[in-house]
Amino acid sequence: MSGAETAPAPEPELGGLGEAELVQACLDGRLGAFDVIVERHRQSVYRLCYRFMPNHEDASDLAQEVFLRAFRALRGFRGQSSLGTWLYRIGVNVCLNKVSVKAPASEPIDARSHVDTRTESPCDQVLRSERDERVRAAVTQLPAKQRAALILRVYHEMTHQEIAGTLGTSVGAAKANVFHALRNLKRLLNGEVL
Amino acid sequence: MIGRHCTPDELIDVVDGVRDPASIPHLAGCQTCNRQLNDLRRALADAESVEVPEPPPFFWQRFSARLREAVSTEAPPSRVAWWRGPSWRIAAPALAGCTVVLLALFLQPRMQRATPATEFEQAFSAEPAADPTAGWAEPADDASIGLMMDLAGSVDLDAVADAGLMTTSSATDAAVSDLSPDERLELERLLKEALNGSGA
Repeated sequence: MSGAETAPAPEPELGGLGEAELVQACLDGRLGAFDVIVERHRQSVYRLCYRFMPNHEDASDLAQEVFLRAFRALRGFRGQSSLGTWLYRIGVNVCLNKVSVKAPASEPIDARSHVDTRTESPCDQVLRSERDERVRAAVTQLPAKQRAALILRVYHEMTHQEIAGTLGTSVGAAKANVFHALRNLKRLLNGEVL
Repeated sequence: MIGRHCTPDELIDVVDGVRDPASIPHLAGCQTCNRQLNDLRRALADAESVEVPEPPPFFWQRFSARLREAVSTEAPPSRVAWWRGPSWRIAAPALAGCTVVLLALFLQPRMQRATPATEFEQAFSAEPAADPTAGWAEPADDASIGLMMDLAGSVDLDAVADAGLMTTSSATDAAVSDLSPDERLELERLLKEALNGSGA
């Protein structure tokens, strides 16, 4: 599903603006500019949230919280990093805060049927679906920092330097978190308890 | 096996492909480190293979609508009048509260000076008070107060509280707020009458 179905359509001239101009337009009170920012980044923010909270409802709530915080903090955006990176940082903070207070719930098996499965046999689909669910459940059982480091490394292809910057740790600590996350993930997938 | 085992840092660098395994001689001869390296690679592959499923139909429409509604209730990120900013929404009631407290502290001594003291108050605030214990000794001279102190001395306050006979600081407020308008008027009249009767 693309993001083009959102209504109402943003002001046409806003769609062609760069990040700095969009932020300035928001600060000038043009809410349509924020719609454009949301449209551009909602998929990646949502995916990040889903990795932390693997069900659509929680991920949607988290993503909304990320954008609301970004809106409130927009005046503080200095453009030193890209808007996407800035949103990521907010997203990781929101997710880390949330996972520390709420036990994540995995998607019920019936609600997870929106992957494009046209090229798979029904049997393969079921097997893959079950395996994915096991991995997701295992990831949610990792300690918060390990989970964050793993998600940023594996699903968002961040370097350890970027992970360290996002999590506010040293590069060594970021690597250690990824190492322990992978080791614990393997143990969890083998049925061990952390 | 040569030397010490690989560090997490070295193993992660090898997994990431930023370090050539051949640059770590120990790795070639150590089964433990090789097994650990393979475990890390397998776990990484397992994690990488999991995708985020597409959200349900109309998800993005609902998401955008909800977000737009939430944003519309927010103050604009800029050009917020200083008196409407969030800090002032918190600070204004606090400031008003402080003003009330300061006024009360400022006016209380004047009101106390203006009000003639009752016999009881005079007994407790008798001059001179050079000796801090002097004020406690004097009430015993009054027979009624002495009797009250004797009786109160034997009372178990915990037992009184358990019996519900003690009031809290908010109990009076709660009682007044429960009164009907007519009852409040009557209370006001009685209080005025009592104050006039005591010479206030």
